[in-house]
Amino acid sequence: MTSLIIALALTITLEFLIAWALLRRTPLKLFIYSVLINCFTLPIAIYIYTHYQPQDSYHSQHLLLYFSLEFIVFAVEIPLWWLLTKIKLPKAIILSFLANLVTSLIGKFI
Amino acid sequence: MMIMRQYCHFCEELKFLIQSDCNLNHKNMKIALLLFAFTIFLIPTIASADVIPDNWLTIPICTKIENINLFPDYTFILFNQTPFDSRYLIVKQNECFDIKKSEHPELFAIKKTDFKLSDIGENTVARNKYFKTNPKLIKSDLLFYPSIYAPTSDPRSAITDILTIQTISDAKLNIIHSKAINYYVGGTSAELPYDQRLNFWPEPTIFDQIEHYSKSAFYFLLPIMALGGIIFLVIKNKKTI
Repeated sequence: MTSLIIALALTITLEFLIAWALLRRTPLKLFIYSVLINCFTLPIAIYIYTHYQPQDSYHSQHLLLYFSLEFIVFAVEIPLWWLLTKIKLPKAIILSFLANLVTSLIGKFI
Repeated sequence: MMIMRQYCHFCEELKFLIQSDCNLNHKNMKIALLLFAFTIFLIPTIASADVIPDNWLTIPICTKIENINLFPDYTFILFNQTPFDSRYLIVKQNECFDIKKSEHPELFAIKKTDFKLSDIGENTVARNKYFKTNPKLIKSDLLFYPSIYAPTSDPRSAITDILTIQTISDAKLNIIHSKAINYYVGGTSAELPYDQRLNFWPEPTIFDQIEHYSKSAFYFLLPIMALGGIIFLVIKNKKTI
C-alpha cells in the first residue's frame, strides 16, 4: 500500500511541477488539478497493469501493456487539463504529453 | 537534420506557450515552493503509515518443510511475485523462510532432471515467464501464513509453521500445514497440531482489514471521488463564465 501511495504522490508532484512550469498559473490551483487528475487516472492504470498482466510474460508484451496504458492515461488527461485549466487544446495536449512522458519514463526505468 | 528542426520548432512553441501565459509573481513562487516542500516531506510520512503502533508488535513466522529429503528426485522452489518485483528461493529441508505481509508466494516442485537454475533467468520478466509457462513445474495450492500483528501483551515471540509434503504427482504437489510451534517470551515453547491452528493464527487483525480496505479505497473509491471533484470544478468553472 505504501508503494502505491508513494507512486501517486510522486506522480502528482511531477505533473504539478511540469504543469506549473508550462502554464505559470496559481500553483495551488494547479496542484489541486494535478491531485484530482492523478487520483482519477493513476489508481485505475495501476489496477489494470497489476491485475491484467499477460500470462505469457514476454518483455515486449509487458512494455506494450505499460505504454498502451500510458497512452490511454495521456489521452484521458488531455480533456481533463483542458476543462479544468481552460487552456487551449494544443497546450493541453503538450502538457499531458510532457507530464505523462516524464512520469512514465521515471516509472519504467528508474 | 529534420529531427533537429522539429525539436527546435517544438522548443520555440514551448517558449511561446510559457511567455504567453506568464503571470507568475513572488507570492505564487513562495506558495509553489511550500507545496513542493510539503509534498516531499509528505512522502516519508506516508511511508511510515504502514508502521504498526507502539502497543502492537510483529510476531515472525518461520515456515519450513520437514520432509523434503523423502523426495530426493525433486527440487522445491518458492516463487513470490509482487506488482513491481519477483523473487524465488530454492527450499531446503528444515530451512526457514519468512513470508512478508503483502506477499502471496507459490510453492513448486520440479524433477531434478528437468531443472536447470540458469533457466529461471535473472530479471523479473524472465522469472515470471519461467514460473507461469514452464509445464514441468508442479504447483501446490498451499496458502502460507505471513508474519502476524499482535498486541504487546501476546506471550509469543515467534512461531514456526511446519509443512509436510504428502504426495507429488505430475499435476499436483500435495503439501499441508502439519503442526506449529509457539515460542514464548520466557524461552519456553509448545507444539500444537494443525487442527488447533486457530489458537495460533487468529482472525485477521484490524491492520489486515485496514490494508484490505485501503487498497479497495485506493483502486475504486479514490478515482470516483476524484472524478466527482473534477466534475464539480468543471461545472463551477462554467457557471463563473
